[in-house]
Amino acid sequence: MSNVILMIFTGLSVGAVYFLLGSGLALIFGLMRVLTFAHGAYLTACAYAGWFVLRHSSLAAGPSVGTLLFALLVGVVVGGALAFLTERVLLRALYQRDHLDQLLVTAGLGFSLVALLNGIWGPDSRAVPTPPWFTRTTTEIFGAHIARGDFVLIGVAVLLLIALEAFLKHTRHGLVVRAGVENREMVRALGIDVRHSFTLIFTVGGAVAGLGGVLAALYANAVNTTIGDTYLLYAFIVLVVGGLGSLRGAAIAALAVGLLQQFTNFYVNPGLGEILSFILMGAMLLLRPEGVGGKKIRLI
Amino acid sequence: MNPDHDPLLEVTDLHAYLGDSHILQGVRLTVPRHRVTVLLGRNGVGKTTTMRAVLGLVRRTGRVVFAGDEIGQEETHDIVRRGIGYVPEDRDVFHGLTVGENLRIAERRGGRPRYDLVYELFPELKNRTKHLAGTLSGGQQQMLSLARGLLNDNDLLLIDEPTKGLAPVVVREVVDVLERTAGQTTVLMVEQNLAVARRLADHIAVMVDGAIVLNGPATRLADDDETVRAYLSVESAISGAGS
Repeated sequence: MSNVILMIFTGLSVGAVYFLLGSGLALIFGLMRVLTFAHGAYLTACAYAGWFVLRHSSLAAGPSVGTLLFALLVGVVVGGALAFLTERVLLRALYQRDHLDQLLVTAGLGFSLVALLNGIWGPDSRAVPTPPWFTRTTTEIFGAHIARGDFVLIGVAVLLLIALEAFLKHTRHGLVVRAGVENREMVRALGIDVRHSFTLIFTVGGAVAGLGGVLAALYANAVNTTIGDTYLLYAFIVLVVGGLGSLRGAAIAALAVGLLQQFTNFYVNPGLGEILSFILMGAMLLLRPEGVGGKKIRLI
Repeated sequence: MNPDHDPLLEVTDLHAYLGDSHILQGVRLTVPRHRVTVLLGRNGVGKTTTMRAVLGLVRRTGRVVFAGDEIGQEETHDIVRRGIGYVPEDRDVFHGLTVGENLRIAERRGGRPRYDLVYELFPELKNRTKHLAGTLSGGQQQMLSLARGLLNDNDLLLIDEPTKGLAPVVVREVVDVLERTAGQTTVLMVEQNLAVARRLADHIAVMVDGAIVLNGPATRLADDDETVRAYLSVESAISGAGS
């Protein structure tokens, strides 16, 4: 029983990071029809930014709550800034072009950014000081010892989902985004410059990836240049399984993929969970290409 | 001043393209102020593309002058903000948004949305503000689309086939609304229902193969069955809805 509880919380934590990256991708694809490969690199860059803030803290004692919050803030700002610049400098010129061009540009940017990080800090993992309460202190639930970090990741993902839904439902920008997902041309025909929404959504996606990067680094106690690639791969699975452009679908898919991986890896064979994630994506593409949340083109 | 000599919209040598297809081939069109101009023609001659080209929704070249200003190079949102409302052919209401949200998104910054007017014209919508637009009937969606176009105090309304696919009773309702609003603003409308066109039009423009072949007072249409036969190939009394 305790193992099941442990797997549930670990799966939810992993799923939370997938959601942090996948939710941004879902918003971006939903509105802009851009499949961005750069957000994995944003996650990596922000993981390093978080590490850069935390690195002088003692490995044993870990950073203070204030430093931790500052690292998270830096991650959000760096991720948002990178995404903002990408949209304004690179993507804006490519909206009239083929999707392949956008994909290649974002992939190229992603590779370049990771290469830059590799050049500066090298390929070796760096230890990330974390507060003892984050990874070493546990809470017992039905005999399972759950790390507090799991609660933090799950809590952040839930808060993010609530915040994004509130943004989409109760703000004018959110209204424009939801309408734009359905019919971008009609939004323009109502006198709305939809490019502002593109910039906003791409930036939000980057900021959320940045938050995910710092949290992922804290969760793993380490950062390296492949961290973003790994998460990006599963975020794309989440995007496809959830339904391209569906926020709620992304949340459900992130949970499903996280739990599937943890349970399969623990109870069947390590590594099988990752394989099954790809099989799940393939099955969804074949049997239900609109994904779990994409029955109608709607974000929430 | 004679409104014919004071056009609100003047289109000259307008060319538009959809992919590799050259759809509009030098359209020349004048829309007089405070009049209803109905754009007529067979299916596929470029009527909808003309409206979309005026709004910059398709790749186009040529001269488009609105209220004295050249807008042919402007972005769609800038053109619309000058005071142009658009009611598209397929209604294009946002199905995942409520009726209220569909209207709210149409509110123009700095403008004064005319909710009193649209709810007076379409009282049914007032009772359904919280309903998803996707759950409305075709007729109700058309009303919502029209309401969206009328919400702002536009100088020009572009209305594309407002009666298409509607039941006769709904057509009558829509035509009544169009007749009431026609006197207050300039309208350029595409309409296949000739009875409706005859009832509403002050001016007509007839399109053939991507070009305007006739642009003048609507009396030409009423008096000249030959015109109808030559250019439109439609029955002159499609339905009694407009009568």
